[in-house]
Amino acid sequence: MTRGEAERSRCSTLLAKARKVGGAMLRRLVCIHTIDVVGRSTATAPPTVRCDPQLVLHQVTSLDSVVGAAPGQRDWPIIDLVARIRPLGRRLRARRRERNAERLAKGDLAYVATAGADVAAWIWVSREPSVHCRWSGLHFSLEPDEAYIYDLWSFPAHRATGAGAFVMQGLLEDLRRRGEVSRVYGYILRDNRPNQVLTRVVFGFEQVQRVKDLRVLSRLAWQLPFTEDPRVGPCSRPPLASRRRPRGGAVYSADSARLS
Amino acid sequence: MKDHQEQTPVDAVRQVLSSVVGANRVQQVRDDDLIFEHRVIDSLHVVEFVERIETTFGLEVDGADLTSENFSSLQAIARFVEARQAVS
Repeated sequence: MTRGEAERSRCSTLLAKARKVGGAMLRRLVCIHTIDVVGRSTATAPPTVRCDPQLVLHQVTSLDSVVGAAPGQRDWPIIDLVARIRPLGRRLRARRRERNAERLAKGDLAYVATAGADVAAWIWVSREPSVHCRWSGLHFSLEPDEAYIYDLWSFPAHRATGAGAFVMQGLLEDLRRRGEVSRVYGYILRDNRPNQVLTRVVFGFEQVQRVKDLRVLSRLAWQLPFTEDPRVGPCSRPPLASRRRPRGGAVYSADSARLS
Repeated sequence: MKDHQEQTPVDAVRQVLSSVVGANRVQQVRDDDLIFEHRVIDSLHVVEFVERIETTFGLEVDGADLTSENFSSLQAIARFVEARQAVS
């Protein structure tokens, strides 16, 4: 290899690396995600999951309960870091309480798993007819007997203890017992493999729709219009998200015939 | 004793499951037993199990394949693996 060729090869390697890093940075700034919208009937009992025997499930109806507190636990590293600055920490906790109070006031339910004095995991469910999920940007249009599951969160210290599966099981079991909700929906990011497996294989959720969202700085998201596949489903705009939509998982399968 | 070539697809799946949850938990399981309902495997091991299925059989299991039917029993998993291998 001549000196010129070696130089060119080094330059192209550097260029490729720069492109890769630049691409990754750009994807963190702005990216389009494919989101799987999944649904399940509440008539079928959820499986009993194995988890840390210390876990106890609470159904939360007011802020006096455990939700909103979660004192001194590690959340996201960046939030944990910011929360150490006292005024910011107070503000964050106050904001969390405010947000939870708003959710409870709307009639949303929360289920919280505790292990001793620690909050291990929580999950929320909404029965509003129209729900906008700020995290994914998705708009769900629900029938009176449908509900939307959101904000399934387990604290890092309690991951791999089955806490997430435990709160999901508790929620599904409670909705089945109440009998007011016959179908629940949720969403899973395509690259969240553990959640994909848990939700679909263990809890039997089926794909009902696929939607794309535009995400900025990994925090702000908007559902992209006309990306719903099939067009009829819980994340379609009201005329299409009407009672006309079939409710069987098989009909909704992304691989089956398209609905028009 | 069966050699590798004589191993049926169900046996191969059974072996993968044994490697994840331990042989004694899988020994008594019949081919058509529902592995979640019989608590052979739990939510803590299922992600690892799906990954082992992928690496052992050279498959890529995507979202649409992740159904409770495909992973309900040893027989169902073997059927799914065979179907996927026939396609690729």
